[in-house]
Amino acid sequence: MHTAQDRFLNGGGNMGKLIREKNWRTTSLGDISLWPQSLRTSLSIILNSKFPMFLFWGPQLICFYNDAYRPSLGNDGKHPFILGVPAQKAWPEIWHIIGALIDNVMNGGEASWSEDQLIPIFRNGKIEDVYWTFSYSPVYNEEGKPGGVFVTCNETTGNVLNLKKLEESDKKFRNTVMQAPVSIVILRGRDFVIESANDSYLELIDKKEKEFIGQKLFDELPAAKETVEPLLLGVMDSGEPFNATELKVMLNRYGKKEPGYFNLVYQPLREADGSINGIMVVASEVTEQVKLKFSLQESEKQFRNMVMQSPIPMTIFRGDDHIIEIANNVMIRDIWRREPSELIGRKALEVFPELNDQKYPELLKKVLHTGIAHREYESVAYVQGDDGMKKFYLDYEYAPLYETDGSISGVMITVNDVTERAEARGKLKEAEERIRLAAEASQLATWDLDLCTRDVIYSPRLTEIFGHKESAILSHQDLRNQIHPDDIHSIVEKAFDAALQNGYYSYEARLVCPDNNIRWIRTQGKVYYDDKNVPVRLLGTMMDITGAKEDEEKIAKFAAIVQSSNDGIISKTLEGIVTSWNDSAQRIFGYTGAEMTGQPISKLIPEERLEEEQDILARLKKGEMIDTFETQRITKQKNLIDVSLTVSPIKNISGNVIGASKIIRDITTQKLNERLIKESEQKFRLLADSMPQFIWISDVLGNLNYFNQTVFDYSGLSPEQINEGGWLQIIHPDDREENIKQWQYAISTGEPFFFEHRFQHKDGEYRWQLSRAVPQKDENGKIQMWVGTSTDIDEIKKHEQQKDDFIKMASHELKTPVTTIKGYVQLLLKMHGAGNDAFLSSSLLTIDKQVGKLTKLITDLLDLTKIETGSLHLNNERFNLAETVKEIVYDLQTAIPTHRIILLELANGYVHGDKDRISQVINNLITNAIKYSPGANNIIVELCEKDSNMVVSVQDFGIGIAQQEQHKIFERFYRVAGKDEKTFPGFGIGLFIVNEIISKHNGKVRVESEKDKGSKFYISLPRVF
Amino acid sequence: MQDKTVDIVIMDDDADICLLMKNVLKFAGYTVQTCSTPDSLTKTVAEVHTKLIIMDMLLAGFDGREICASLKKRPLTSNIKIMMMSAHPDGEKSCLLAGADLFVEKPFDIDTLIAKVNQILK
Repeated sequence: MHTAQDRFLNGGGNMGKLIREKNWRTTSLGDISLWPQSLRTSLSIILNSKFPMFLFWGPQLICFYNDAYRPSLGNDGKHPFILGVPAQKAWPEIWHIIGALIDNVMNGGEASWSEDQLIPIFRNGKIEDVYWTFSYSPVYNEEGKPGGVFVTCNETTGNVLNLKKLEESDKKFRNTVMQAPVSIVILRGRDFVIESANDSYLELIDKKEKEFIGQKLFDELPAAKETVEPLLLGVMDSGEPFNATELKVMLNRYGKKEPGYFNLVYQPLREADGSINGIMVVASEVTEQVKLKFSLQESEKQFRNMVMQSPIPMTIFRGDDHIIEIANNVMIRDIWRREPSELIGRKALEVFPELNDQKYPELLKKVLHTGIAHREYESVAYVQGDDGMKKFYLDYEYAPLYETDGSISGVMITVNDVTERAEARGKLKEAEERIRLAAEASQLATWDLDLCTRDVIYSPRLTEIFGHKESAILSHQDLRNQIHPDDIHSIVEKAFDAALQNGYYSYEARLVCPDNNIRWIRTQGKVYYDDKNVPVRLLGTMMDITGAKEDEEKIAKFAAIVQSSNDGIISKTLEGIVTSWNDSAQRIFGYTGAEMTGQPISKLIPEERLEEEQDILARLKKGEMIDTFETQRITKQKNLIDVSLTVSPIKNISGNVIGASKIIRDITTQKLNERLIKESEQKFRLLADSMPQFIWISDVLGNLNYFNQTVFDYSGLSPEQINEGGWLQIIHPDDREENIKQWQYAISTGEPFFFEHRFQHKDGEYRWQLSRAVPQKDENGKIQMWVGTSTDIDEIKKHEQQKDDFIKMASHELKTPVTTIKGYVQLLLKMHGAGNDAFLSSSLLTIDKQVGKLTKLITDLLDLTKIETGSLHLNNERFNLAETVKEIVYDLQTAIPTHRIILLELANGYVHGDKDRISQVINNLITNAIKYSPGANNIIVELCEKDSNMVVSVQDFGIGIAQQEQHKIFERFYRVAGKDEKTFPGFGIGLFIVNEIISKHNGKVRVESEKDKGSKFYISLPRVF
Repeated sequence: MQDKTVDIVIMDDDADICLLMKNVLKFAGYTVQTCSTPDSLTKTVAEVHTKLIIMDMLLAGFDGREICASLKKRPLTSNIKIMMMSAHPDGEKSCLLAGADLFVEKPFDIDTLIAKVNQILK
C-alpha cells in the first residue's frame, strides 16, 4: 500500500519497491515520511529514469540506485545490500578512488567527468575489472548546500576491452609484418609520412632508420614521386589495393646505381571507422628471378636462331599433339619439301599422315613422357613432299624440351640426311674453330715493334692490360716505363737480348698500372729479319696472367703451410690413392712422400679397420665432412699408433668431389696418459670402494660429487637417488642444520671440517659417524677440492652415553645419603652446638665441612658430565654483575674465617648470561684462591670495565703456578701440586668447568701467576646495556 | 572428615629423609606428618587438614610433578602450598611449571629449608 509519504516512489520499478519495503527508521535518514523534498525529487527522477543512476545522500552518503543501474552490480555482489548503506561501507574496495571525488562535490566543487576509467568492483562473487564513464554532480538541499551526490554512469567495460583487443591485435599484426622477410613501409596521411619501415626496406633504399622515419616519403625519395605518388593517391581514394609485378626501380646499392625488380602491393590501412589514413607498402624483390627470366628469354631467342640458322634440319614439336612450332629452312626445303604455311602451327601427324604407319609417333610420345632423348642412326623414313613420297636414310635425335618448372613441353628434332652428314659436320667444325679464335683474340693483345724506329703498333686489348683506356696512345718507352722496376733488367731486357740472339721472345713479368695495381703479363714474340739478316721487327702477343699468378702464389703459400704443419696432412683421391704427403706425415708414419705418393692409403690402416676407410670414402663421395674421430693406424715400422683424424672432401671448381684431405694427429702419448690416469683412477676407486669408511669428494663450492661404494651399500640409495635428493637425506633431520652450518663454515674459511652426526642405514636405523674433510690445495695454496671421510663411531657413542648415564645416576644417588647426613649434622649443631661439649661441636663442624666438600665434588662431577654431553644449558638473563660479585664476596666472607676477601674495585655494569653459573664460576675462583694460599690471609677481588668487557679478577698470594704449567690448568683432571708435591684435594675439574662456562658465555678466562708468589685469575664477559 | 590439623605433610620414599625433615621442622616448631607413597599422601590429605606439602620430585615409580599438578587441580587440595625437592638442580623449572610454590635442592642447608618454610607459612 502506498501512503501519501511515499507517493514519490510511484513507478520506481523494482528498486522503488525495495525502497518502500525497507525499514528506514534504523538508518540515519529516518522514516520515509521525514525525508526532505530535495531527496524525494531526486529519487523520483532517478527511479523513473531508464539510464543507470546512483545517488549518495546526506552526510553519511546513503546509497540509492535505480533498476537500470542494477545490472552493473552483477550477481552475488552488492545488490540489494548496499541500498540505504553509507557509501564507505558499500564501496570499501574503491573508496580510495571515489572517496575524494565525492568529497570534492560535497564540498561545493564542480561536477566531475571520467571516461572509461578502470574501477574494479566486487560482483559475481569476486573483484572484477570494470570500466566506467561517469559523472558526479551535486544535488542541492533545502538550505542550498550540496545534500548529496548524483551519479550518472555507464559501464563501458565491453567497449574498452574490445578496443584494447583491437589495439593488441593491431600491434601483434604489425610486429609480425615488420619481421617478415619482405620489405615493408607504412605510410600515413596524404603526405605519405613514413610511420615505420623494416630493416629489409631500409636496406633496399639504403637509408638509416633514424633519418628516414617521420619524414615525408617523397622528400626522401624524390625520384620515385612521379611514378609512385599517383599510384598511392589512387589507393587512398579508391580503397582498392594496388599490385604491381616486376616493377623496375633504379637503386643506389653499395654506392652503385643498378636496376632492381619488385613485386609491390600497396595495401590501404583502415581505421576502426573504415576511413583510410595510410598505406602499407610491401615489396618483395624479384630482381634475381626477373634477370633469370630475361636471360631465359634471351637464351630462347638464341636457341631459335640456332635452330633456324643451323645447317642441319631441325624442328620443334610442341605438346602431345606435336604442333610444329618452328622448323628451319633446311628441314622444310630438303626433308619436308612443302610450303612453310602448310606446316607451321599445325599438327605434325595431320600434315604427315604417312608417319602414323611408322615407328615415329610412338617414339615421340615416349620422349615427351620419359624425358629420355632418343637417337638413331641411318634410320629409314618416308616423307610425303610436294614432289611425292621420298625415302630418307636419316641420323636423327628426339630431344626433350624442358620448361623452367621442369616439365617437358616439346621435342626438338634434329635430322641429318646421311648423305650430307659429312658436309654438315665440316661446316659446324669450321664455325666452332672461328669462334674459338675470336674468343682467344679478345683476351690476347697483339703488338708489332719496329726494331729500328721503336715505333709500336698494338691491338686495343694491350692498352687495357696496361691499365689505360682503349683509346690511349702509348709509346714503346711508355710501355717499358710501366714494367716493374725489379723485373725490367733481370727479366725483360734479358729476354729481349735473348730474342735478338735466337729470334724467339718470351717472358713473364710484372707491370705497374696507373692505379698502382700490379699485374702479371706473359709476352711471346718472334723476330723478323731483313734480307741481310738484320732484325727489323718483333711481332708478338701479350696476355694478362695475373689471375693465374695469384693462384700460383696462393697454392705456394698453402703448400708451405701444409708442409710446415705439425699435423700430418695427406690428400688422396676418391679411390684412396695418396696424392700428397707432408713432412709431419713422414714423421708420424715413417714413410717419405716419395714412398707414399701414388700408394693406396690402406697401407696405413690396420686390417680390422679397413671397413672404416670404405665408409669414409662413401661419405666423402656424398660431399660430407667427417668430424674428427680417434682411431688407429700402422707406421712403416709396423707399430700401431693412436691418431685423431679429420677428413674433408676436396672439390673442383664445379663443386664435384674429386678427393679428400686428411689431417692426422699422433695422439699415442695422449692416449697413453689417458689410460694411465684411467687406471690410476680405477685403482683409487677400487681402493675407496673396499674401505669400510665413507669416502667423499666435494668441489671448492662444497658440492659433493663423489661417494665411494660403501656410502651406497650403507644407505641403500643409488647414485642417482643421492644425486637427485642430495646427500643430506642420509643425515638425521636433527643434525642437518648444524651440519650445513659447519660445512659452510669449513668451505668459506678453508678450515678442516670436523663433525659428528647420524647417518641413516638402509634398514632405517641411524648410526653415529665422525666426519672429517680436509681441503686439497695446489702448489699456490689454492683449494682444488675437499676429500672427506666418515667413520662409524656408533659403538663409542653408545659407550659414552652409558658412562654419562652412569655418572649422572651415581651422583644423584650419592646426594640422597649426603642430604640425610648433612641435615642431621646441622640439626645436631643447632641443638647441641652451643652447648658445653666442645668436642661434640667441633666434630659436628668438621663433619659439616667435609659433607660440604663432598657435595661440591658431586656437583662438579655432574657438571662435567653435562659439559661433555653438551647438555649444559644456560638460563640467560641480563643482570648486574657488580651486585652479584658483592653478594658472593659477602656470603663467602661470612663462611670463611681464614682469609680476608678484599673487594678493591667494583665497576657498575650489566652482562647477559646464566646468573647462577657465573656465580658458580666466581665462587669457584675465590674458593680456589683460598684453597691454594694456605699461608696467606688476603684475597683481592676486583671488577673493572675494559674494552666493552666486564672483567672480574681474583688474586691470591699463595703457591702460584709455574710458567710451564699455566696452559694446562684449564684442562680436565689437572691438579697443581704444592710444595714437596703435596697435592690439594679435588678432582681437578674446577677450572675446566670455569673455562667451559665462560666460553659458553662468549667470554675469556686467563691467569697471571708466579711460583710461590701467587696467582691472579681474570674472567671477562661482554658488557651489555 | 578433616578433624585433625597439621602444618606440614612430607612425602619421600626414603624413610631417613622423611624422618630427618620431620625432626628439623619439628625443631623449627611445626606439626608434621609423613608418608612414603602417593596413595598414603592422598589418604592423608583427605583426612588431615594441612597448609603445606613437601615432596620429592622423583619417587620410586612416580613423578612428583604429576602428583603436584593433580593436587593443584582438585578443588579440595588446590589451596595447599606445595614445596618440591630434588637432587636434580635443573628440576626447579619443571616443578614450578607443574604448579609447585617452592623448590629446594638436595642436599640442603637446614637453615635454608627452615627459612623457606617460614616464608611460605607466614
